[in-house]
Amino acid sequence: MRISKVRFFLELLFAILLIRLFYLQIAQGGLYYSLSIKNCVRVMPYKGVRGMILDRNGEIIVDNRISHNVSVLPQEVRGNSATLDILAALLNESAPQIKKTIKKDFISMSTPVIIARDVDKKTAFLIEENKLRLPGVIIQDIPKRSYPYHNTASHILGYLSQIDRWRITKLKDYGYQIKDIVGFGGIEESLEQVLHAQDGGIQLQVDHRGRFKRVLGFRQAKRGNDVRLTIDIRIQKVIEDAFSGKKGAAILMEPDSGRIIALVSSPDFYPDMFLEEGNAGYINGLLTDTNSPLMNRAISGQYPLGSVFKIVSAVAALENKKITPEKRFFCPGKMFVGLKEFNCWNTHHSQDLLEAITHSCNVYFYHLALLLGPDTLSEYAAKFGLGKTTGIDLPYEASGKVPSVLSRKMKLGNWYDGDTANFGIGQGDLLVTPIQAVRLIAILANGGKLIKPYIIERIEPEEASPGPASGLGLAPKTIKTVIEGLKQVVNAETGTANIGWGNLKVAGKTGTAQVHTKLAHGWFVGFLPYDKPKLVFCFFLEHTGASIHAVMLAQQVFKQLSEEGLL
Amino acid sequence: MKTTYLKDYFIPISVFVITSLSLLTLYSAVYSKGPFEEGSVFIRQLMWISLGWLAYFIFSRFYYRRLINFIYLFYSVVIFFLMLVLIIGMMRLGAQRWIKLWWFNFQPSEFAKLAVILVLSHYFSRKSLADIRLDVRRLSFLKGIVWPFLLIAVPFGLILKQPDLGTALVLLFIFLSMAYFSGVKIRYIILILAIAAFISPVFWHFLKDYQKDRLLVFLNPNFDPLGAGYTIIQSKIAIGSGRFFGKGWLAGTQGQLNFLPEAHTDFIFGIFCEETGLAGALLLIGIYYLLFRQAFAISGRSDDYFGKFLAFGIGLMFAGQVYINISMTQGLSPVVGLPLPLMSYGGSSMLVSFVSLGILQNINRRG
Repeated sequence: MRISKVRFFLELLFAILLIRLFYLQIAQGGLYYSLSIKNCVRVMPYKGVRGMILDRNGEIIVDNRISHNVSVLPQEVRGNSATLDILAALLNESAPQIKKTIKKDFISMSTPVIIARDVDKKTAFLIEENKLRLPGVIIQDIPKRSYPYHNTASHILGYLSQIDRWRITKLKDYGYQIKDIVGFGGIEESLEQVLHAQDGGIQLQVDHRGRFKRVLGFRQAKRGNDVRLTIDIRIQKVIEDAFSGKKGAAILMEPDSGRIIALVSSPDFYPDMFLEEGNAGYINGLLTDTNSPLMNRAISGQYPLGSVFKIVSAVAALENKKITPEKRFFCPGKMFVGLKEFNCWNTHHSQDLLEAITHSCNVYFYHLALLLGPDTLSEYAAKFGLGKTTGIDLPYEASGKVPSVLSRKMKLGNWYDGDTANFGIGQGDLLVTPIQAVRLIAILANGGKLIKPYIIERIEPEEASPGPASGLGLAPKTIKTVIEGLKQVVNAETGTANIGWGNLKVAGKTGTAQVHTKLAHGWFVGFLPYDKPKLVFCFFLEHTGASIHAVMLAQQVFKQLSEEGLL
Repeated sequence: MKTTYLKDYFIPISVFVITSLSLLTLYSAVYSKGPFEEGSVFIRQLMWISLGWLAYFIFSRFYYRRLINFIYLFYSVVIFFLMLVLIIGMMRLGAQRWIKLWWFNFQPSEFAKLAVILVLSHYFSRKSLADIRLDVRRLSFLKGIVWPFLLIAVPFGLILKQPDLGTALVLLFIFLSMAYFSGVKIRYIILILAIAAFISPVFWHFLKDYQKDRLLVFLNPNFDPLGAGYTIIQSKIAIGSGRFFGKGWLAGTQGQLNFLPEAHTDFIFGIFCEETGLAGALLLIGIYYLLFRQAFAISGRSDDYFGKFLAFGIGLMFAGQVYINISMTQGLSPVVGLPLPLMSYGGSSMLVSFVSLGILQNINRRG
């Protein structure tokens, strides 16, 4: 019968419908479901505000300001050339240019496209006022990092930029995503998760034309926590200004607590440049500059310490009773250790310990070093916190290096008496960071305690507390003797740092660290006032020739601080 | 008069279930458009369904063979209205499918389907005077194919000109199937198909631009994703996103938020699937399937040739429309614009469906 054939044909058609139905709803169901959700759900993000960074006096160093972005909804402006013309006039751009941007960044008809970033307030208000004539034009207010002190303290603060691959692997467990803005270097990086704001937003349901229907969900944006630092931004600025292009580092610290008052590395950079588009040239310049402006020399730079190390040698000799302060050595300007001639920088004739420190006599300390031997020197260097990080709360701290017979042997080398002599005056393999140098001097200033420097005063709302200080068990007499020497360095007629300090009661030790083939580094490490130390300092100039430049820099800084009443 | 069995209630029960689903889906489709539209569309559909039931009861009790007296009158009236639609359309410089009669839009192409079924059933069931056997088998090409084709050619041409591609296709489908069912030699049918294929390029020029677009878009929906292809894409999203159990009544976003155009008319199946999922779709298609099976069974049981053809044609009309509509919403065939019988909003379609099923029920009773 033909009827059954027709019926079979129709059944076949119905079977096709069912197969298609299975395909659409079961095989592809998940895909279409997610498409249907995306179809009608729009998310309007509310950017959270990142925590501020303040100095010890509550002065804002890193702030946030509102920046205005101009966006357009493609579905509203499509074919509406009047809107684009008005907008172009307001933005000082051409309508075809705007059209091009919309085309380039188009995502969907109902997703706003940003056509101008960070326009000034006046333009933003003008656009708002002309809202009725500009359908589909949206002003988005987005918080933006701002730096009232520009490049000041840039190494402490770090900068913000788009997350890189290395950081995303570290942070993705905490909900970070590609294209998030995160901290690079400094406090911005070490306290990323404290400062980080949680973005909120409204989830809206829209209809097929992108018109608002109802609110599906709302999440409040959460502000990041503010951070208060131990530094005094005024002092920081005075020091940075004094550096004016010189390469080096400087640190001011409270000797008892380890609270950092200023921490300078030069050259520096402008953190806000990383947030603007079109600064690739500047950023590339920073990255390729041989002066490494992005490196924080105060904690990451490792340099030979030079004569500053004589403090350690002197303490070691006194503590081990190898000498008394009255012990004299004769300095003829040079000395033979084994077959090699070792020079002093001058001919000092007969010197006792205080004179040797005052004049920074190398020959005296060659003798001390040979008396102590390399193991004791290594031991004391370690005791004074060299060769390992200080634990300061900033990222990328370097550990420096303390030479030892053992480590030399491990590298299949021999240790000679000449190495011991060099070690005694801070030359040779010894490498020290400026933060280690300032901690070293703090031990004398605070009566023999190895403290942990810190720069984060408070993470709102909690106060950070100073790290534990460990007493080194040095004899008070030893400390007193060495401090007396340091006083002489600055105040005695023949002292290496005596350049006329007026009424500033400074004690310190200079260091000129020889560098192979290049100009020597200059150090000046000390504290003030010497009778009741309130501040320890370290001034370091890279390849400056002699320590006297570091001393002059320190003097300039302290004189100015004193004049401004900041000491 | 035969005694009635439970299976005799199959048709009204099916109709009741489908129209109930229709009302629920319609309510959902227009619910978010505000109380005015919601009220008017829903209430109107409810009214058409009530009128439909009235028509159903009248026709299920009216001896179907008596319809023969009115067939050609009905046929002429339909053709008259089809021409009227075209003339009014031309005067208004815009194509349309309906005429506004008093307070409703009368769509003659819907009635044309029933008219064609009646006319063809009558033509094919004619008996020769000499023989009580059906004589179609011995009919020549002229009498077996060409004459009956001319019977449908007039409404077919008028409907194509409207343009209403979907209904025209259904007419063609009904004609071919009924000719085949009547026993006309298969080679005649192949011949007419070949002729149709030969002249179809000519028809391409009759198509409006938007119809050409729809055909091109069917081949590749992304051809114009914001224009004609948009509907297909949104419809597929609506159906697919229902998955197995659907999003629930009034919870379908595609329909609620107007992503799917014509959600309450031609694309009602999309909304229905989005909210009830595969489970609901299987139920609905299952009922349609049983309905056309029932029509064919009635055709098989009837010992009156006119009744046989009529029941067969009505079954075809349902199955054809269901297939074309659903395959179009699924993106399997071009968007031709055809309502889903008993589901889509529309008075003419609803009334014709009820009348047809009333006639079918009557054939069933008379056997």
